[in-house]
Amino acid sequence: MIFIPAIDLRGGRVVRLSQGDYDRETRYPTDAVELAQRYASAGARLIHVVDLDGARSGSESNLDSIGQICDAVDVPVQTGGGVRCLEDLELRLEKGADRIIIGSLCVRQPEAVCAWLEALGGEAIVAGLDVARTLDGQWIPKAAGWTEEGDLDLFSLLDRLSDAGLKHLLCTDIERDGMLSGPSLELYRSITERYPRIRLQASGGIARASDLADVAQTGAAGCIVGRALLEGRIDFDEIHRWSR
Amino acid sequence: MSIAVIDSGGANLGSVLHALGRLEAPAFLTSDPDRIRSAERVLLPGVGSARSAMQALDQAGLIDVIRALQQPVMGICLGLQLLYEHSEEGDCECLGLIPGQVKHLKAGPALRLPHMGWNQLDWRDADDPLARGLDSEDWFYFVHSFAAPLDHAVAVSHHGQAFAAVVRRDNFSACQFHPEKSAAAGQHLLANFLALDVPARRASADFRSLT
Repeated sequence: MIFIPAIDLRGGRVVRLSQGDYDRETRYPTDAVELAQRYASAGARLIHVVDLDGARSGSESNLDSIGQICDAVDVPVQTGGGVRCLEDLELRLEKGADRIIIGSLCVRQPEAVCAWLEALGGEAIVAGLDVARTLDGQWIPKAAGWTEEGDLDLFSLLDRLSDAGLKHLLCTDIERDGMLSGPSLELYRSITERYPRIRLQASGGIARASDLADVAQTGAAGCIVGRALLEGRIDFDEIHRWSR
Repeated sequence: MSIAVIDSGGANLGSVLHALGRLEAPAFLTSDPDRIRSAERVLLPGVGSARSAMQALDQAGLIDVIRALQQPVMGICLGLQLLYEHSEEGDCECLGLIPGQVKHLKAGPALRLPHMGWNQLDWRDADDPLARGLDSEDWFYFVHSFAAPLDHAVAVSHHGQAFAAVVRRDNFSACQFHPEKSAAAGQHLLANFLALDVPARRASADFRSLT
């Protein structure tokens, strides 16, 4: 498993939201490019950049920052937020990103994402699914900043995407994201057991170094860490430890 | 040292320029034949297909310029493939500076294409100047679906099949991975390239003239 440090951008600045709530934002006084370079020199093999403005409104205001990050770091970058059509995806590849995360569109128009997977192959696309558990224990993916629910449960959606050639999945447990409440191990285990050929990136809830070992046990290929790094709960040395 | 990065159009080359900047070897992006001819080092990157890249070089009038270069030249990723005689990608004739044909990477059913990710190298010639300070423990970042033959490889990598990861012939070097995205190891390889001796005289401008 690799450690994937995350940078969330809003208005070109580094922020974190709690449970995806735009009113519960924490700003960090760090320049995004400088932070990405610090992650890269700490040994990161992939950097995760989320465009929160793009995710909410389709705004392109963070695209230049994303391009600057891709140019300035000497490791690959994946980015998500605001991809609503094929042109949006291609624009981000032109900016220098290696992999593009498709979020809401997987929930709203899975057939469109399946067509891109078939056309472009599974390497440049990461399905970014934010899921919440219902009372009867089903995982339901949500769209549009987690305000909108899809018609399909997680596994029905993944069956379709997987048939179309999905290779990379980023899965976030909404209840845990930005909450430092520990990773959603049961969710990750259920995905890796059911889809052994999909490379899973676990995201949400990482609060301490021991959480990383727990996530690695689930068979996840990567683990995304944001807030815990920014707040010093997880040392930068851990990036190196998990990237060798 | 003057370093020209050939602008083959379209691709995002900012990360290549940044990587050279980190080595305190500022480079300029250009498609101007005179600036390329007079540079002390030349890099030929390339993203996209072999056919579109060859068309862009042709339109810029750079094909014969590149073939005649005498200073150290390094191809990166598609830039490596362009140095060969022919590529299956778009069935096109390439620069012909290294003998051989670039073919589809035969990854087999269990492996993904493109080959995208971190991989290690087998250095066939550990004494090659490009290998200085590097060994089979180092990781490099690859993104490609086509593979170059092993004949002139100084390092080989594997993804279902073996393919040339670093090649060198006369003053032409190339790497299939992206050194600008390969962290410290990639930086090291670029530094080794910049430190190559300038050959006194190339034996032949074109290997085909020997046969």
